[in-house]
Amino acid sequence: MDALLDVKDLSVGFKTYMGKLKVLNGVDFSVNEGEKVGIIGESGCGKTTTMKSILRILATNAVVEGGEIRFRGYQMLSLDKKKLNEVRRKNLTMIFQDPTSALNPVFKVSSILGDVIKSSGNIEGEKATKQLVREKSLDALKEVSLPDPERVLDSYPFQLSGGMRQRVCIAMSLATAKDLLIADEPTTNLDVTIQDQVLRLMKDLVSKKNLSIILISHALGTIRNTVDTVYVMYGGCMIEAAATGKLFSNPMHPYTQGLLKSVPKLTGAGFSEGIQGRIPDYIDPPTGCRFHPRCEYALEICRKEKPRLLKADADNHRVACWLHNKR
Amino acid sequence: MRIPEIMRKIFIRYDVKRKWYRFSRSSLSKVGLVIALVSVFLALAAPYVTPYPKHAGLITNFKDKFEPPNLSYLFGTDELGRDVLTRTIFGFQYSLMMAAVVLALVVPPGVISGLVAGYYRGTWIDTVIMRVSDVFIAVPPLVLALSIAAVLTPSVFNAMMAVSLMWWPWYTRLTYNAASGLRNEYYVQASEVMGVSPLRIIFGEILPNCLGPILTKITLDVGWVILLGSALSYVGLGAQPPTPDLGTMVANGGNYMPDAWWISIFPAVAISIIILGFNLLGDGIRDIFVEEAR
Amino acid sequence: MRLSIYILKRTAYIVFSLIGLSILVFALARVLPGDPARMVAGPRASEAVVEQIRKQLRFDRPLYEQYFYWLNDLLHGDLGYSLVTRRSITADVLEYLPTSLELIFLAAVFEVAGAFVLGVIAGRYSYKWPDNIVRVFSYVGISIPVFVLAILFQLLFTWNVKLFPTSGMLSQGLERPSVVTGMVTLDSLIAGRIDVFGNVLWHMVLPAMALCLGGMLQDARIIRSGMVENKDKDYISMATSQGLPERQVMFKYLLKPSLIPAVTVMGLDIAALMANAFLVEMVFNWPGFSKLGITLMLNKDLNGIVALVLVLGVIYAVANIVVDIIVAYLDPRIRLMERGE
Repeated sequence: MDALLDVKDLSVGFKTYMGKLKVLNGVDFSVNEGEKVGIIGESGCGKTTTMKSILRILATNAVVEGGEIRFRGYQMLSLDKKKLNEVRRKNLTMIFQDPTSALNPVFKVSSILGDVIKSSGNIEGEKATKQLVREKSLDALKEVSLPDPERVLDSYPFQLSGGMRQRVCIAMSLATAKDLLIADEPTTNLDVTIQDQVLRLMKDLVSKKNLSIILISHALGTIRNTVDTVYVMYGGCMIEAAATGKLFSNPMHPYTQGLLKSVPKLTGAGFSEGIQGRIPDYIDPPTGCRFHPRCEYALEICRKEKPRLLKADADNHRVACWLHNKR
Repeated sequence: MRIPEIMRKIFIRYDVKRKWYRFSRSSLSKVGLVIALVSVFLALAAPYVTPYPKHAGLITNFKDKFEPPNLSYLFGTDELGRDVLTRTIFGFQYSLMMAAVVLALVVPPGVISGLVAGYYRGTWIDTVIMRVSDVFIAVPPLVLALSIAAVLTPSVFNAMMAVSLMWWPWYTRLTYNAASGLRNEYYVQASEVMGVSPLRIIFGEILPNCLGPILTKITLDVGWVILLGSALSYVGLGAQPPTPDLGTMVANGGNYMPDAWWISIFPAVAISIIILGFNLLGDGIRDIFVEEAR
Repeated sequence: MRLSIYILKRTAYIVFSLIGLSILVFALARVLPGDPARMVAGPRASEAVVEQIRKQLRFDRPLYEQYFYWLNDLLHGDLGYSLVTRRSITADVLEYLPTSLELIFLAAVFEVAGAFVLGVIAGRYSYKWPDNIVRVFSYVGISIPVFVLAILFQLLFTWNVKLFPTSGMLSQGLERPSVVTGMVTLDSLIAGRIDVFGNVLWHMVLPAMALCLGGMLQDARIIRSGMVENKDKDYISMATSQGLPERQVMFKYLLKPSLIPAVTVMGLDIAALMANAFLVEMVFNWPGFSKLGITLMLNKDLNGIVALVLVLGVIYAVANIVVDIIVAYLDPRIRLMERGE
């Protein structure tokens, strides 16, 4: 069966005053229909960039160097503007990390929510009157369990709390039917007490609407409880991918192993160990496998050639590592 | 070797390489730098590089009056036969001198009052300083300068005084905005808790972080002061004849337009070029201090 | 806080500044050497006359008393007695100021319209040739002093190419319509003289353009920078990712936050037009307050200068308040900031 979303060998760079930041270095990654995929990785490894590439909302100094992104058979990177907007309206949607900066500060919620609803075309053949649009906006807000949706609808973003803003963003993303929801660290910027609520809300909506979802997060615990498949990202490429249970019980890539060992445990003795070294410099990145300078198992070949994300065993557990890839 | 070592230290301490990189990304900024340097050079070396240095002073040369630009008088001559090119270059002297004097007088009190007001934000010190400076900002700069100059006898010195008197509050306001933003930063509060004296905090921690906008403004202001000064001279309140001041020359040449256009136009273009140069330079300096977007 | 309270606060603030300003200029004017009573009376008047004048104009009183009386007169609409024109300054001001105001008004209209159009084009096509042209011209426009620009315009468009009249307000043979508002354009419309209206307008175009060009280009750049800076902001990415039409994202969601810093600057610029009008009027011999001002200055008419500066200050302040109101309307954060975040 063809995957819903298939990213192959994606490479993206950014032009800056210091040179070109070669952030994405051949990303391989896919999502199937109905699948819940999680992506974990440190800050700066390229998770958000990958997602933005799918929706083609990269910054103006970004350059796509190679690779392809296929969504439902469309070649996303070369799709014409009209079709692209259609896909954005009908199929894909994204929730951003910081709800404060994601909402235009000088417009009321009703404006942008209304415009999103209006642009999704005639709703069931009815004309988009102000009344109707307002009704549907209120419906969308009610779906995300916002108390007093009338007030929220007529407010400016700065008049709402962080949790409320994120709910508004979620409402906007899901106001019209979608296939795939991309959630980029949706709860990282929220208070701990709110995080759980918002996460549960998302889980409910995902199952209610039969969405496929890509969830990006730092919080390993959240990932573990939410998704079916986990991808681990480092230095601009996916280095491991497996079913959730398998990844956590049997990490194969040295980075993943180090990552899981770094999580402090409440029981047992001793401090957690970190991973020695630092994340790669994207202007002058390490050759071959970008993790090799920090890896205690590094081989000669690791320095020379970049490993691809290939199956390491029968269970579709994939690793990009020369320790496991057959030559 | 000693000297490269010191240079290296300066380069690192003040992050010169990165600053130069940011500055030189825009070729316009480099053009501005060149213009500014050339202007300063001409101003300093005026008596030595001009063809007819004497024409800058009290002299008449009636046999050559109203000559259009030609080989011996590149910019032509004016109604008294004086070489316009020479007088224009001497005009640079007056303009840049005015800018230097005014800024030297204005920047220290302006910046210091702004820092103090910003540090003591919310107290009576803040209110007093800012209200006083608001008085000067209540009226458009040119009008205020004109009125002050009008009240005094027309002369270069008085024009400089007039401009200085109304210029300092802009620095107060600029520095105040920058300083009051920084005032509540953690590193300032940390120093206060440690018992560092306010003086050291203001000059050691707050001021260095305000330098960006201040230096930018100083550079841009060279242009503005020259503009204001030439406007005052044009109206007749600045330098008096026979002083070769660019504004006065433009005003004077206005009487002979459009026939002897060169008497006005060359000094006018010269003013514009100097101001343009410092504006471009100022933009470049602003680029140095701008945070690079992610 | 509500908009009305905001306005009141700003007004009080500015009145306070103006009082301070009046004290400043007043003090300066009185500090000069010379005998003001003698200056009024003229060099040939007898001592008795000078004394009389001194008493009449209160030059013999201490400084603060003089100020108090002056302020009192002011609040009654009496701007004082001009030492030079020998009549009430109020009358002088009413004669010359409105014509300046109409020139400034036209320039303001040009400036806002031009800045808007140029700025949006430059922002839309940023880094391409329309943007570069606007950028280059804006550097030039900012650097050329207003009076230089005026002279250049005069040279190019009235002498070299006779497109516009060289100077003055009305061509020969035409008369000013009877004074209703003092503004010739309005008065001529009121009097039904369309020919006079057209003629005055024709005389106004070039000075107005010279007046506003520098500001227009600068404002355009600010609009353009705002758009470029905000283009990569998250809320724009979000709107784009929702599939909203590009036109809507650009002209509704990008434009509004980008305009706000521009409006602030535009407001200041327009208020500053007043100062530059002085110079442009001189070049084009437009009968506005510059004529009055120059006479006052060259003759050292202290009363006149103080009064004129104050009037201009008031107008400037009013303009600033209007700008503040517009900005507060555009950016809800400013007026609603009291509660919430």
